Order: sequence, then C-alpha cells, then structure tokens
Amino acid sequence: MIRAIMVSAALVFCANVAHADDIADRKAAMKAMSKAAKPVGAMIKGKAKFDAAKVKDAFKVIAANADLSLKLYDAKAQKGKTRAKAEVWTKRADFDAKMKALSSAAKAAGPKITTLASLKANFGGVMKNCGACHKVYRAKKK
Amino acid sequence: MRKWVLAIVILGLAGLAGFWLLTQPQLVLAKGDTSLDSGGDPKRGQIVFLAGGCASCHASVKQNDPMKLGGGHAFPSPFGTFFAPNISPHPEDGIGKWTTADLVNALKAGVSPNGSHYYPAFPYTTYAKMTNDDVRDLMAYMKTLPPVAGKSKPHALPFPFNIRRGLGLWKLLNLDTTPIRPDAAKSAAWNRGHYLVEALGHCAECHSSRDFMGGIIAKYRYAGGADPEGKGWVPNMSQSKQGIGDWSVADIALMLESGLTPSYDSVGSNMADVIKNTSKLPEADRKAMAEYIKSLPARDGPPRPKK
Repeated sequence: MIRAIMVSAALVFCANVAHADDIADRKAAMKAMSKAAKPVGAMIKGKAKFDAAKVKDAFKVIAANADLSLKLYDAKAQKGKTRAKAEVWTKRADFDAKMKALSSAAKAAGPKITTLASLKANFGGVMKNCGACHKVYRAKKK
Repeated sequence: MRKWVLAIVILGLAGLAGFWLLTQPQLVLAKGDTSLDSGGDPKRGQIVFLAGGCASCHASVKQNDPMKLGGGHAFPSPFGTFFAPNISPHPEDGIGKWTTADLVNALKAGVSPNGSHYYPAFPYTTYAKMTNDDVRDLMAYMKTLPPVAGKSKPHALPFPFNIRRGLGLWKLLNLDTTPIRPDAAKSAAWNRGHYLVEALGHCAECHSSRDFMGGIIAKYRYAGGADPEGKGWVPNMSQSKQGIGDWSVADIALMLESGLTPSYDSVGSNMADVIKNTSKLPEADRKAMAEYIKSLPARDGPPRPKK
C-alpha cells in the first residue's frame, strides 16, 4: 500500500519536473526565432548583402522552433516567470493554430525567396504570424 | 432673504447659459454642405483608412475580417467603458446615410450628424488635422465596404462623464484645429511622414501621458504613458535613451513593416494591430513616417508608478 503511494507520488513528482524547464525552453525557442530573423532583417534594411541560402536557413530555424514550441505549453507549465497569458490554455485550439500558421508560413516562404525583391514581398507574410500571437497571448511589459 | 435667493437663481441660470454657449459644437462644414459628396478616390481612401487605423477599433468583434466595421469593441478607461460604433455603410445601423460633410465634422470636430459631441476615445484630436480631400477619399473607400447590420452598445459611463455636453469644455482645452503646414526646410518625405503621423496615425494618442481629464500633457507627448485601457505601460517612442533614440530610420521602417524591433523582438498587444495596418501601406509612406518619427525631440516620460 505504502509502496503504491510512494510510486504514485514519485510519478507525479517526475511529471511535474518533466515540465519544469518548459518555460525556459520556450523562451529559448523564441530567442532562437529572433536570432534567426536578425540577418534577414539586416538584408531588408540594406545593411547586409542578400543571401538566399541564409534566408532559407533562417526560415527553417523559425519553422523548427515553432514546431518545437507547440510541445512546450503543457497545462503543467502555466505558472512561473512567463509572459504567456492564461488565454494560451483557455483558448488552446486558437493558440496552437497560430503557432502552426507561423511554421507553415515559414516553410512555404523559404522556396519562394530567390532575390531581395522576393524576400521583401514574402517577409511580412511570415512575420505577421509573430504579431498575431503576441497580440492576444503575450502579457504586456510592465 | 428673497433677494439672495433671486440672486442665486439668476447666477445659476447665467452659469448654465454660459456653459451652454461655451460647449456649443463647432462644425467644420455646415450641415447640408454637399461640396465633397463626389470626386473621392477609393484607392487613395484605402491608404487613409490604413494609416488612420480605423479597422483596429471599429472592426466587428469575434471575427477576423478588418473590412467588417460593425463595431462593438470595448475600450475600458478611467472614465468608464466605451464601445466602438458601427461605421459600416449600413443605412440604419452604420453611416450609410452620412454625407461627406457629416464625416468631416465627425473626424475633425468630434461632432455627430445630430449635433452632439463625440467622446475623445475616438481620436478626433488627431484627425482634426486631416485635409478635407482625404476625408472625401476615405468616404469613397468606406462606401465600398460591406454593410454590417446591428448597432453597437451605448457607452457605459458613470456620472458625470455621461453628460456629453461637457465635452465642449474638454474640447476648448484639448482640441487644436490648427492645420498642418508643410515645412519648406524639410524633405517631401518628412512632410508626408509628419502628416501621416500627426493627422492619421495618431501614435501620440497611445504613446503619451495624459492629465486627470484625459488630455495629452504636452511635455510628455510621445514619451510614453500608462495604457489608457488600464494595464501596462505604452513605451516612449521619442528620441531619448528611454525611448527609441538608438533606432535608425531603417529600424523604424522595418518595425512598421514587420513588427520586428532592432533586437528582433516582435511587438505585441495593441501595437500588433498597428502593424497589421502599417504593413499594408506603400513602402514610401512607411519610410516617410520613419523619417518623421526619427526627428521627434528627445523626451523622458513621467516617473513610473511604483510596482
């Protein structure tokens, strides 16, 4: 009997520990997406030479981190030092849809970008997905 | 004794009469003026619509189409909660029966077609500086949008803020109708940006601190302020270190296009709505706005309230 309780307690403990780092991991994923966007932004601002390969890589990184992020919002990972609002979990279907939209947009844009002009034409379509989610699901800075 | 009572009554009536005169709605165009009812260009009007950000406040709630302007969005404030009205071309529930002169008076004087004051949650303090031609183009564009049935809710305001007439006094203090004059010493792009920001973009309406009556405090214009909706702080967008002094014109233009800051964060909450509009403007207009914003004086905001 006691063994059963201890095993259950251990499992619950592990389940919580398993998600304890999710907040840190998803912040890292966001930072990775930000870091990936940087060289692309520099090209659009005219500060760096256009490089199609670098742009495609950047979009791959963004898509990969969006896919990874979907797994980091378990119900157990709600509380903590995070700007993720409660709506992430009360409107979960919409949140997931927006994260998936970012991933799809990044994946679709990669092959289309061959010149600076095509980059400028497609960039906004990918980046607007960041704002769509931040508008509703990220808490304002204090 | 009687003399005092009479004196008080007379003074009271004089006070009311004075209040009535001071709070008279001041129209820009006479009711029935038809001079602007034709000749508007809907393509130019769409740019006015985007730069003015109309859809961000007036789009129907619980749906994603910015062209459906059925209103209903709630705006909590220190004075009560406002609900954005239906401004679709619906003849009964929207502005389908308005003349262009009605729209001019609404945007530039904050006066409704039936002669009452609008609450400045509607930022006519900015739109007051629009040209009548832009209003004509805007009207032509708005007529192409779908009519949406359903009036929006009336505002939920406690006494005394529910007395519209009082806004006449507020306007005397806060509504500056001086038109924007081009500055010959500056570039065409700067002048275009000046107009886009100060007459349409209404950036200052969120990015400034306000006094107890809700008027913008001039020395804190663009220096950031408490979010009028009650939560959080709207950032300083002036050229001070506290603001965006280290952003280049290209940085500002990229942010208006994509929402990305120079540190490649993506702006959120209400600013994301702004980007939905500015990302659709012609690139030259975004660059113009960026040039103007870069020229704003450096201002630090008020001391922040303790957390």
